[in-house]
Amino acid sequence: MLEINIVKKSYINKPALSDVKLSFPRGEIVGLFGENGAGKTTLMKCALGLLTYKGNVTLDGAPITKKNIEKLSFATGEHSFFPELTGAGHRDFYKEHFPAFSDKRFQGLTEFFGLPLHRSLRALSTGQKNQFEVIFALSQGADYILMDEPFTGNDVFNREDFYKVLLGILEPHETVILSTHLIEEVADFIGRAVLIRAGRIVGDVKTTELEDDGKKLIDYVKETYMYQPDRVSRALEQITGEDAL
Amino acid sequence: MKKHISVFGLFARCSLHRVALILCAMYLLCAAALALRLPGLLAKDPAARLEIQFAKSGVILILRLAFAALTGFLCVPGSKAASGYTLARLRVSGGAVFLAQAALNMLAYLLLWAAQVCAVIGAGVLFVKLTTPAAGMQAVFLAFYRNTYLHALLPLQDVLLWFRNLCFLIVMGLAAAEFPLLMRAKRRAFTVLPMAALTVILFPQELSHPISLFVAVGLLIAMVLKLAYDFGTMEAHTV
Repeated sequence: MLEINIVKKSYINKPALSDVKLSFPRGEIVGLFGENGAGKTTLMKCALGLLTYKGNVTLDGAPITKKNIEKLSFATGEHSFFPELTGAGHRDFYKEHFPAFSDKRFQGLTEFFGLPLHRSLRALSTGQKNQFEVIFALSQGADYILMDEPFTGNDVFNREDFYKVLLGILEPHETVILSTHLIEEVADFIGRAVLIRAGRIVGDVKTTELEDDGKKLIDYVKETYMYQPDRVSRALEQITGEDAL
Repeated sequence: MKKHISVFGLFARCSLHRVALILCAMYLLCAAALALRLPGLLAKDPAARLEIQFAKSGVILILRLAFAALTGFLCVPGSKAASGYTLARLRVSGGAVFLAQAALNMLAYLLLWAAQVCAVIGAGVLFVKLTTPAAGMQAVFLAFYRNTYLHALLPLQDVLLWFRNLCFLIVMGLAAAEFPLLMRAKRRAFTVLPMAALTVILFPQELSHPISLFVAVGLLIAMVLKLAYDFGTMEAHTV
């Protein structure tokens, strides 16, 4: 269980996370949604120990240290790989450092996406770089796979393929926490949605609960964010001075 | 230990092609400079000594530029802030990661040093064979005594100069590794610039003016203190 206990984080007196309390049992695919600047990335980086914060984050009851950090992996749109190194070079490096690294999964995914293993990652397209980033995170052998906007720059078919592959390959003990703006696209693939706004958790729901209530995820998100559907027409009225449609 | 070697290997894989590129470019440029400028210089002054011809043909300038280029290239691997997210997930400590990169940098500078000595000896032997074959190797070794830069490259029996060069080598290895360390922490990193500038300026200084020796030792102490400060303040930022 990954537990985030009353975590607070501020950037130069500007609060980024306020008393965030969440727990992630094993075997879930969680969507983490929020507007730009809501605190999604900060939350993930705090969980990984990449940022300082107040509060505590534990993994199976133990604080996250060098001893258990390998149970967390991270795929980010910022690309955490080494651009000068090849895919094969990364595989060898990961094998040395992460005892649970899955060569089979790495091989299968790179073949599926037709990725070149012997070219430095710097020379690849943004989409291919994203694919490698996600593949490294999935192959590391981590129990918690944190993904922060990993598909920026990939086309819709590619993303669809990835979600399907993800569902097919995940082991029951693996949890994926996926931060994305593509709510409708991932709605069928996630089991739980966590909504964050201005550094606070404003919604946390299992998708089965939504199904039972006959609600769509996007409607739940809009409802939680108190989205005003008429705000566009009102704005247009103000700008143009005419009645909008 | 295997994991530490693996981190060293990671940086080596990221850097070696760059080091090879610089050495090749340095050899090519030296050869081109000698081929283009020597005939004219010899026509003007056939009796000019080897070291003077080297200086006038621009070989020494190329050797200095190679040092600057190597420093720039060694600062690149691991300097992307996001690469730090992967390094942070390793069992190997941040200090060990830094030391692995610093050790690799020192090896790269050592390689450049050796390559420069080879380049000068090789070009010198060729020059002597073509101009004054009777002078033999003696002329080449005399050049290493007469020119301050060449003497610093191969100090022969000057033990203090070897020691000073070793200090410069360690300082530059540490400074070039500090740059990516600070970049990963999203902090300003500029120590490598004054360190490289002082090394370039002071490297050809004779030890009859021992200032370069004192400065080299001073730089080493300053670099160690700066690193202690870096790690101290970074420690405060860890969870």
